[in-house]
Amino acid sequence: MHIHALEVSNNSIFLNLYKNLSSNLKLVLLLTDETIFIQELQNDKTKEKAFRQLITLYKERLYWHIRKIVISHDDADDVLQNTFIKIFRNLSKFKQDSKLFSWMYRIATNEAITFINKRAKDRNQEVAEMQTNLASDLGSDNYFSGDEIQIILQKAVASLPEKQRLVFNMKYFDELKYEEISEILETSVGGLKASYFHAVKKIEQFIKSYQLN
Amino acid sequence: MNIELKNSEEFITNKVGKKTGFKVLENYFESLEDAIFTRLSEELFTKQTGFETPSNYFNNLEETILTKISSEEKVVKVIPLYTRIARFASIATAACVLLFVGFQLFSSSETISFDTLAFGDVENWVENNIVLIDSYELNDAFKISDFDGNELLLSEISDETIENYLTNVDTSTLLNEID
Repeated sequence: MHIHALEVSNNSIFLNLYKNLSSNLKLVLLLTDETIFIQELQNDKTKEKAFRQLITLYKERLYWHIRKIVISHDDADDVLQNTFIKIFRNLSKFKQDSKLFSWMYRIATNEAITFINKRAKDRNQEVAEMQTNLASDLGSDNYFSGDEIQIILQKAVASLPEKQRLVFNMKYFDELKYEEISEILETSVGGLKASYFHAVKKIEQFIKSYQLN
Repeated sequence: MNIELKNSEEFITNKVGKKTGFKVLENYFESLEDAIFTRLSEELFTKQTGFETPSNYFNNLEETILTKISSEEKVVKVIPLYTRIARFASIATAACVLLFVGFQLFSSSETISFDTLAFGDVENWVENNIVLIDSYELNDAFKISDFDGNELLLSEISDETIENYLTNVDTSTLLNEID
């Protein structure tokens, strides 16, 4: 059964077809038409089951997005759980003015940024300085299996301003489209392209400087 | 800008690759769902008790309560205020009387003595109880010097009083007194 063939405008027909599908096919459908999934998430009777599905679908993507921002695994684990709890508590408020994925990604981003900003303030440090120090210690981190040049890249990314750091991670590593990043960060595509350009140039320079030394 | 960007991107990719180097331990993602639901357990328990109410229950509740209150109000006795005051007044009056009597009985500082007795009471008692009085006691009680013979003679006893006495006195008493 092709997914495109199921993109019908009549919800009642779609609902009947949906109910007769196997659970695997249902999961596939959820990625393309999330209307019913959102209804299930917002209905008290089906909320818990739907939320478990949500965790299954998005936990890894959200984890890695958060991890790239906070660097430490333990911090990423904390922030990820806080993110899902915040998502759960705010499901009834989701108005579908963006994709469910964008909405969740936005919550994850805000939670991670708030986390590192608060920690930097508590330590009376600049965020960039704090994150660069963290990146420098990755060699002794049990949750890091990269080599030296990857540590250098992390230090380069940590030295960037917040917006450039976020855009670089989402574009370079996650390979999201500008339109998707625009919906998550609520920034114009043009602004994102400019941020990404500056980020890439700085990182290139950082790596070249390291190689020269 | 696009070509410049593309070149720089490729430089980075060639040097570093597309891996961050970050990793997780085995089973981390498998245990994540349970960890999240443990934290949510309290919220989920309170929201999913399974209890339900009839439809329109809360919509009709206010009216139901108000109806019950107004029907109970009709059964309540209404006691007129003046009855209450009258009942209170009679109790107050009785209390006042008791207090008054009590004060009279207990607050008097006068001690009863011979001087407080009215003369008429003493005269009556003597006339009615003359047999109780021993003449020897009387003799002891009054000294001769208490009596001034002249005083007796000189006291003004009216003729009418003497006449009344002589008319009413018993002959035997006169004879005893002469003796």
